[in-house]
Amino acid sequence: MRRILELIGPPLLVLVIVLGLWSLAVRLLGIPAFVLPSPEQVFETAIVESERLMSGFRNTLVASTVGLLAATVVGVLGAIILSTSRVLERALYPWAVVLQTVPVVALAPLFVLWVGPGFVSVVLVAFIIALFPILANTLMGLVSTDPALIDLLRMQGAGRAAIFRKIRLPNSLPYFFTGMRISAGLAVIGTIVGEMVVGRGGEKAGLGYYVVFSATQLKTDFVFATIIVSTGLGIAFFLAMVGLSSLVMGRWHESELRPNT
Amino acid sequence: MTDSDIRSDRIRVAIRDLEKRFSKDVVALRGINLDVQEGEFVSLVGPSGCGKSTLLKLVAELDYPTSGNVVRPGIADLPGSIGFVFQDAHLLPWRTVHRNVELLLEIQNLSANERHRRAKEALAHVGLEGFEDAYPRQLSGGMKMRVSLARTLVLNPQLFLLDEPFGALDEITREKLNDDLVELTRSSGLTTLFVTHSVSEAVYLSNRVVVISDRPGTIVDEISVPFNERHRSLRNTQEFVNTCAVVTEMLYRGMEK
Repeated sequence: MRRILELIGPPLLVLVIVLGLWSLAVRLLGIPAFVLPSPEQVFETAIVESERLMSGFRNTLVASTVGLLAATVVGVLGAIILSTSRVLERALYPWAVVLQTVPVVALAPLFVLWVGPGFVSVVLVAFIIALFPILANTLMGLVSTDPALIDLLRMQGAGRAAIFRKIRLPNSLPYFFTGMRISAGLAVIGTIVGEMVVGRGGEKAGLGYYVVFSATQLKTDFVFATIIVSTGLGIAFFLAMVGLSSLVMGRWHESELRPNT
Repeated sequence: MTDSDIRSDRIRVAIRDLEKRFSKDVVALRGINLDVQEGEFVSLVGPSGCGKSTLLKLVAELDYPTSGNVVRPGIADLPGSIGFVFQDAHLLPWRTVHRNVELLLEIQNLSANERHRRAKEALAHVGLEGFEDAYPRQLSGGMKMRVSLARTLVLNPQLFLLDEPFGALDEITREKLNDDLVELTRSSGLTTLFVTHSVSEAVYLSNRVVVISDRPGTIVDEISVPFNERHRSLRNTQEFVNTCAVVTEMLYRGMEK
């Protein structure tokens, strides 16, 4: 209990101070609510609009999850394929880098043309943004294996499949999770950006849609509430990856074994 | 040396006119001729970069000679008949000690029971009972090296090749492992080729010490080690010191050529 308090105490204190100053500034300077609402107003709106926020949260959660899962499957399979051959890696990896560099928001209108606005377009944006870190990191893990170990297995007659299963794949796990931690956050950001550009309203509306929608109506308090919920979702995704990685590698990997300071 | 030597049924490794070039200008080894008898412990000593590790890899067929050849009469051409131990332990951090020792047996498609039994036996052999479920990160450098030895010994190899296995360890651990290695190899009559840059280690462990010159590596001389018993106090005897002095002298000769 004491440990938890020591851990969350200081950042919590910072939060309280910032909220206090914010509230004070809004009152003393008489800032209009459509420019900067007070934290109390934001909180109030969050309660009043809780139903829409919750449904937006659910929709964004689903789209982010689907986008991240698709990026994981394609990223890992892609990394495995690229790791099997130097030629393939040299031919395809640069294109993965190009894909990473294309401004995805600029692609979004194309998605609308091809599959229409809504869920699929949003997931596509999240998928493309989340793909590269998983692909690049997993590939690095698959190819940076100890050559001595591979010699050792080869001497005992091990084939490529056995070396892959016993050495390459487990060796890539820490790298894979590094990619997942980055991509988990990116998938949420990608989804929200996607919803802002190619999302649809109504009951399928996600958090990104509500940000744009309420901003155009000068409901700045609702914009803030949406941003806070979105951030919470991003943090939840990141923490889920941290949890998953410690579940899988907790007993052996250095990153999971650092002493608590 | 003649071909009739190779036919002698006690020879387990016969190296003939071996040359290894890495490029036109870089000659790692030249004119190497060496026989290793069954049950013999032979050390290869030389300055770093002299090609002694390359020679070991050629014997293991991890690399191929530019000319000349290595034959291994009486050593089955089967997985598991050659055991190789590297300079560092090279354990899999995600496997427990026990599962690390099972690694190479898994390639041989042995049953889980058989693997388990042999791994347990090998771990007992290197004095690691009770550490079966530990992970490599929990072990000291010396213990990791013991796991690495067990991982290879579990194969019951006919030929044991070690490439500076104790180079990174502190002196006390190293001497302890030397005693254990003598015990392990002598008790089973294991034919062993051992690469090291430590003269006293080579003399202590071996029946015969082969001194290799600076690049291009050639054999400067072979020195037979005159004692049979190995004990810690051996290192303080005049005979041991004298033998080391002879080897050291040869090493210097090999570096001045």
